[in-house]
Amino acid sequence: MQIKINGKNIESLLDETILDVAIRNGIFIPHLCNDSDLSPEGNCRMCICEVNGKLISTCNTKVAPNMIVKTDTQKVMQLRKMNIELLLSRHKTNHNGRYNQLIELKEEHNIDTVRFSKKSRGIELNEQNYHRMDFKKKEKTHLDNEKKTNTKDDSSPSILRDNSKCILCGKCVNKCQITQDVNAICYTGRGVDLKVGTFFNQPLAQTDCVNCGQCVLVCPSGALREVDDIEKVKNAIQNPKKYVIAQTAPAIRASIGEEFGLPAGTLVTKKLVTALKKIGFDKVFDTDFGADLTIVAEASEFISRATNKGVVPMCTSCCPAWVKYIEQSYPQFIPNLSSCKSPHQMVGAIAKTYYAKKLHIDPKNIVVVSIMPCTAKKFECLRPEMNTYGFRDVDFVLTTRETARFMKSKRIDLVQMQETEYDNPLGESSGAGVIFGATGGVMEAAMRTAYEIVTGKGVSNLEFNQIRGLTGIKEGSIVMKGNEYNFAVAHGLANAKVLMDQIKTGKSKYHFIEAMACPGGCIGGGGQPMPTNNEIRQKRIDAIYREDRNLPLRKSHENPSIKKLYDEFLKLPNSKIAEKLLHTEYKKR
Amino acid sequence: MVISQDIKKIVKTYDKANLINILNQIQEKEGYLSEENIEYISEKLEISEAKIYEMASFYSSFKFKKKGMHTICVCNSPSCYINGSLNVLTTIEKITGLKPGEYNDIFDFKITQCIGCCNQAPAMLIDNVAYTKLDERKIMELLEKIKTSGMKSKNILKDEIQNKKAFKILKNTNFKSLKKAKAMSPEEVIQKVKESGLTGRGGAGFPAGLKWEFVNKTGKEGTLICNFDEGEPGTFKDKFIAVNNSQTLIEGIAIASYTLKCRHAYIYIRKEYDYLKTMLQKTITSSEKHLDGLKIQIIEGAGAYICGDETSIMNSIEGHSGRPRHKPPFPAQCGLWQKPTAINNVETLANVALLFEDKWDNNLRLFCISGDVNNGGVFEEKIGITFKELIQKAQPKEKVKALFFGAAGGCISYEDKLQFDHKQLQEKGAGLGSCTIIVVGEKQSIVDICHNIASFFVHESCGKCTPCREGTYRVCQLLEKIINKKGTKHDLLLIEELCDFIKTASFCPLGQSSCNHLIGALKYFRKEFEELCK
Repeated sequence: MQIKINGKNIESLLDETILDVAIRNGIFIPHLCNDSDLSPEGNCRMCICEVNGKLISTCNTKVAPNMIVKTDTQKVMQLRKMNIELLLSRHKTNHNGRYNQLIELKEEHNIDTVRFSKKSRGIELNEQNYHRMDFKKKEKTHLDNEKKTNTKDDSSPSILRDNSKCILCGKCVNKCQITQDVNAICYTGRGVDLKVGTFFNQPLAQTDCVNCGQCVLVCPSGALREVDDIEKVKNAIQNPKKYVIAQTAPAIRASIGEEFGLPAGTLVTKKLVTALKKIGFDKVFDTDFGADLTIVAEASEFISRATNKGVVPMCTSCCPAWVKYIEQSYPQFIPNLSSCKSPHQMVGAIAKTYYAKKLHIDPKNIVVVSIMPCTAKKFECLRPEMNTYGFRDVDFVLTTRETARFMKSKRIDLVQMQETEYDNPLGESSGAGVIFGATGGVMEAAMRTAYEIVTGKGVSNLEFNQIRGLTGIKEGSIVMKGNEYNFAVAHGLANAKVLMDQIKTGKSKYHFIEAMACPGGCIGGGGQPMPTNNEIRQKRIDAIYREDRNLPLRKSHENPSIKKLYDEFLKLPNSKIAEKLLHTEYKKR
Repeated sequence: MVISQDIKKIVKTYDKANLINILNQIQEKEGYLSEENIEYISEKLEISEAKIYEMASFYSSFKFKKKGMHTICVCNSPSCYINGSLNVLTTIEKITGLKPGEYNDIFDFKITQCIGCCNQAPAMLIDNVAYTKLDERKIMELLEKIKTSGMKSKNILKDEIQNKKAFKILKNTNFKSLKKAKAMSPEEVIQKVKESGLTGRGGAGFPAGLKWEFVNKTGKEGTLICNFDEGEPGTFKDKFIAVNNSQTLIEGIAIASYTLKCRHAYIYIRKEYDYLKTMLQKTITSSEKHLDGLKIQIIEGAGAYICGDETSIMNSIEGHSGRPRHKPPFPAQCGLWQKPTAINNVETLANVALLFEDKWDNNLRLFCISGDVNNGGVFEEKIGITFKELIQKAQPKEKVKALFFGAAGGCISYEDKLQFDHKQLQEKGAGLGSCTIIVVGEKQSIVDICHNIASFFVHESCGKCTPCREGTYRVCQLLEKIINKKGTKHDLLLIEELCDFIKTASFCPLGQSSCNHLIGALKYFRKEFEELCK
């Protein structure tokens, strides 16, 4: 149907909201609480426009034939200004240049002063008329286990909470409750006391939070942020005694360009290496190498379980948010998890043993920094199991956003960089390693190798389209030596929960399950550039598969560096040293 | 920590609609909701503990740690304020040594919003029982009794019983109307209700027959919710009906359920009417033989004015916080658990049974009058009655300056000859609403009353949308500034700007009507505001 926006005729579909139509046509209507992954809430009221003469919110109003929409009338602008002022009155501005939509709106609407005092509780609720008796009295809120003065929660190694910046758009709560069904955070209280909090206001680290960071990814005002480890990495680099190694996750090469103005889905692999070297890393390895290493180990593990009546379905273990989710919500299925460490942990372990030996460096002077799209990896690298011979496999994790900030702080423009190859021996990778970044990639990579191990031949079609893409739960099957093996791929924990509940009720038909906590897989991780929505996820995913297609090697077990690693060091997949460095344990939480 | 057998028994009664009842019962037993108990509920009912905490912390009456043995809630809404709630507060402070919001081993002392005892103001609740017409002596006696012997709830319903012959609304139809209705088809009953002109009595005035027709036309089994969350300050007519003619209410519910093909109806009763629950349940039980298998379940709120909104009531019954939903979709298509639902006010449903009788008149309403009057109460009068005639019946204490129509209905400057009629009131910037009138005498400060109402909305805002959550708070803050003679003319202009913003941009009717009183007050009594400004 046709509607009119600001005088122009615009085509729209039956079930679209006015806001969606506007966004699709590049017409700007400010919005803070709208998220394309969730149903519209109508909380922030920023999207109010004049529709057929009435002032209504456009995020939750569907289009109708001959609708007349005006987005910039004087009255609308007046409402927006007042709205922004009220939001700013409770929001402690941060000045560190981070992504903050509220500040952007403030500047766009030329708001210099906020006419409401910044003090948050100068008022005696319910005692308005008691003021004559004693003006200074303050009534406690009915939630008195709240610490009124302390608005920050820095208990988590991955996510920092600061309610003084929260504008109560509700996106984080919806992500955690609906998309992830983890329910670590929730609303508490009501009215002006409404806050985003936790069960009995426990610190985040004590809740069921799995550190996936989907909440951080949607926060428009900086109330939820990734824990910033840039300073620690800087110190390591500046320390002449330390040999600092960076490794990059598959997802980074397809996303970090967005932080420098490049369109989503631009591959910047070799520029990324140069930029990291410029920051001062001594070596830049590729986590994709670790992904190949993981596949070689995990494919064998899968085959062994599938053929020897081991515990099935086997579940991937490279997503630390997923692992924590199993440990706390489905501990009975811990035996289903693959015993393999995640790729970057494997690279770290190998770097501090195999590579340390090659360089004749004391491993205690090696610092491994993983550049990840992921906030949960900050939690993962601190797990006591992720230690080898007394050294942490990975010392620090920097998200994509932190890495971009780090580069910018040194005026390094990624776009202008020359191209450099990854360092060896831990820099060579196959396409199977790259596709780890997309949902379905781990499964596809595993099948490419498993098939060949079992049948002795390469699989006819390397690209498993049935498990690619953004559908929440995807499935496929493969026939090897006369036996059919079913596999499933889920992304977003609410979807993964469906698969686990199937196992619980005995209705699961799968032998192998890949689960990623983040919608889209790692390219949609909590540490990725903002915004992240389905359109952008798809572009990043397309880039990942493009890189796979353009690589000479597309199967993990063909990686010569992996072969060399086994020949020189690990010897056999089930050797004692392989067991120690590449495998891990889990515990009930 | 071991969960007590009593708690386990309570949790076993869960049936997806009564999570709020279960929490109420647990708090009744233990005095508060502990972490361990909520963890137990979470495990047994497979609802995440954070979600239960989110829901519980939304309501005013739930506590999360032990606070004394007895809860005192003093009403501070306009009618009680006008009649001396401040004195009640200072008296209690003198006796207990506690300030409002504080607690000790014996008492938890709170200020609460309208508890529906406006015509017997000032009033308070102690352990969910209402005590009215308070004076210093009465308060001292009550608190002494509690401290020494604990207190059994007295039969306060005695004070509420009225002369039934005087009120048409109190006629007991003895289920004759239900019989008549069941002899017709549901569609015929709907037609009859439509023709009668019955409009909703909850304040919105939507035609009841039309509402049921929407549900009936879906062809699916419908749900009926009786809205007994009477929370508008100055309103107590639904309580009046429930106390004096609950059987006719049940009959009305049965007739409505019949037209909606509803097998399971709900009565959502506010927490502040907890002391009416037993009586209501008795009536339901004794009416069972007439109900033909219809189940009527009482769901009890936990202190939230917003739960009088029809979408909030559904969220509350579903076990969530009482935040409102966006319309469309409308409850008739997608309501309680997405099923076709009709939500009707108590008075509306009582009238449903009565309209099968002769000489039923839609224009006969129950007016609630309180405030600066000596004979406040429920008056059954026709729409169109002059203010002079109506207000005289309540015997104003002094010359009447203004009338406030509840907290959300706006206010006007009193005029003898003005008629209580929708059109005339609208022209003056107010609304018929649920026929609630708070009489404000000459000696009262309008600015004080507005401040009182503004703080009511700050307390009751659900917090979902920016304008209501932030705006009502700032309005209250600015009014306080003005009352303390620290405000300027600029602050007055800012209040007006805020009022317009909140009215236009709020998500739901609560926010949209939260500044009506100020808009009216500034129109008719601006001088009082300006006099306080620098």
